[in-house]
Amino acid sequence: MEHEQLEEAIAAFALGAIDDAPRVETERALLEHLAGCASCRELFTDLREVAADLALSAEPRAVPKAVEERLLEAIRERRPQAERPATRRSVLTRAGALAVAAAIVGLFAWNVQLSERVSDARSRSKQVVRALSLMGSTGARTASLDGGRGDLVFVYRKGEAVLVGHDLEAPPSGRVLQLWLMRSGAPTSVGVFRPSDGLVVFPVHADATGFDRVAITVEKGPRGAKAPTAAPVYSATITA
Amino acid sequence: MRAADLQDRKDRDLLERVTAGDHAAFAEIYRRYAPTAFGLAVRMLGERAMAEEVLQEVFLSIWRRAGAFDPARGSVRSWLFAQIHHRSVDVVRREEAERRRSQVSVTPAADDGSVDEVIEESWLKARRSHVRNALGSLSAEQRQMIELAYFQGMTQSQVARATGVPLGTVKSRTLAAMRRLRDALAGTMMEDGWSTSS
Repeated sequence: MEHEQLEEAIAAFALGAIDDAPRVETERALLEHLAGCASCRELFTDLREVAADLALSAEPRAVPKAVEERLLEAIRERRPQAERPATRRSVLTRAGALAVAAAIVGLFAWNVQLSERVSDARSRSKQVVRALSLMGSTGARTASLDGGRGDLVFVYRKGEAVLVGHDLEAPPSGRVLQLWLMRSGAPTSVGVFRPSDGLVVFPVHADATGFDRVAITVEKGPRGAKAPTAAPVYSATITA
Repeated sequence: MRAADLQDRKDRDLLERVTAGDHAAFAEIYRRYAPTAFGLAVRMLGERAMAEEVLQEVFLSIWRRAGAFDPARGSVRSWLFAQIHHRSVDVVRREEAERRRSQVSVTPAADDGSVDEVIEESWLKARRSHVRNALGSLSAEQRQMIELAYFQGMTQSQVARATGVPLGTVKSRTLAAMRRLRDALAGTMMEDGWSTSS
């Protein structure tokens, strides 16, 4: 896609008006482009804010008191979920080994689910939106991974990260790709995934700050390895 | 520009308290934004009953998932309104699909157009008038793109079909409209944030 077309896609995206038929392709193109284009990330953030402000142009309406009462009644019995962006704050540094294992299993389950539902553009779209908005957020950095086929970008900021790639080669059957964060050569597993259709959008609930390298190895599925068993197929330097 | 948005700082504090289970903070956010949120849903859905459902669903999810709000990605109100919009678009498109399946042509019940007496904080009124002025600064063709895509929940192909305007033109016109809105609104943010908040 040309730059102008990508900007048009950003405007359509902000309004929720991207066509369903090429939605996957359009979002993929947007993701790839935003990872490397600061001015489009800014446009993306601005236009999303503009779209939200459009709500104000509708005539405000008095909401029936009964609605408020029902709502306040409903929340009296439920606690909010403890789901601060803090769950993203630092799974790796804050929690023990057990929690890390649970997080990795969770990520794995999620990614398998994602692969199965990749044709379901709408549900996949939510993950893409998250990835896109991370890229558009303040303080996000990107690192391009060198290595095998296709393009892979690791976008990160304090508390969260996402791995985005396309045209990737799928690992052999029974094998998975495993993502590692390294500090002075010491690896910490972040999770495993398989590209779907050559595409990966892999949200990482871990804090990449304090690490100096991100690497991907091919490991035995479905859980991956405790430590890398082979040389990375992709890697990049990151800065805290 | 968001940095100067004092109101949003207040909203964030409230949301922080909501995360801790503070009912009063939730009620305050509700009272501040429900009329706008409801107004948007009514305008998109053309009727009140469904709009009430969308409103309840979204505010309930805000109570449960206040912690998922991420200030680095925008203001509290844009987060809230975006959820109302997404949910309403879902409803519009689902209804549309059902209509197509049943081959029945139904015109959505028109919004009765009546104007409610709504008490709003002054900064919100000011912001509303800025947004309306910004929309007013668009050409009629540009405004139509925004109207159909945002308020009627149409995809760009549907906009092209509905208007007879070529898809390529729909896309470029929409981008031009959004840029113009951004530029028109950019100069007003600080003013709304600092001088007129209650």
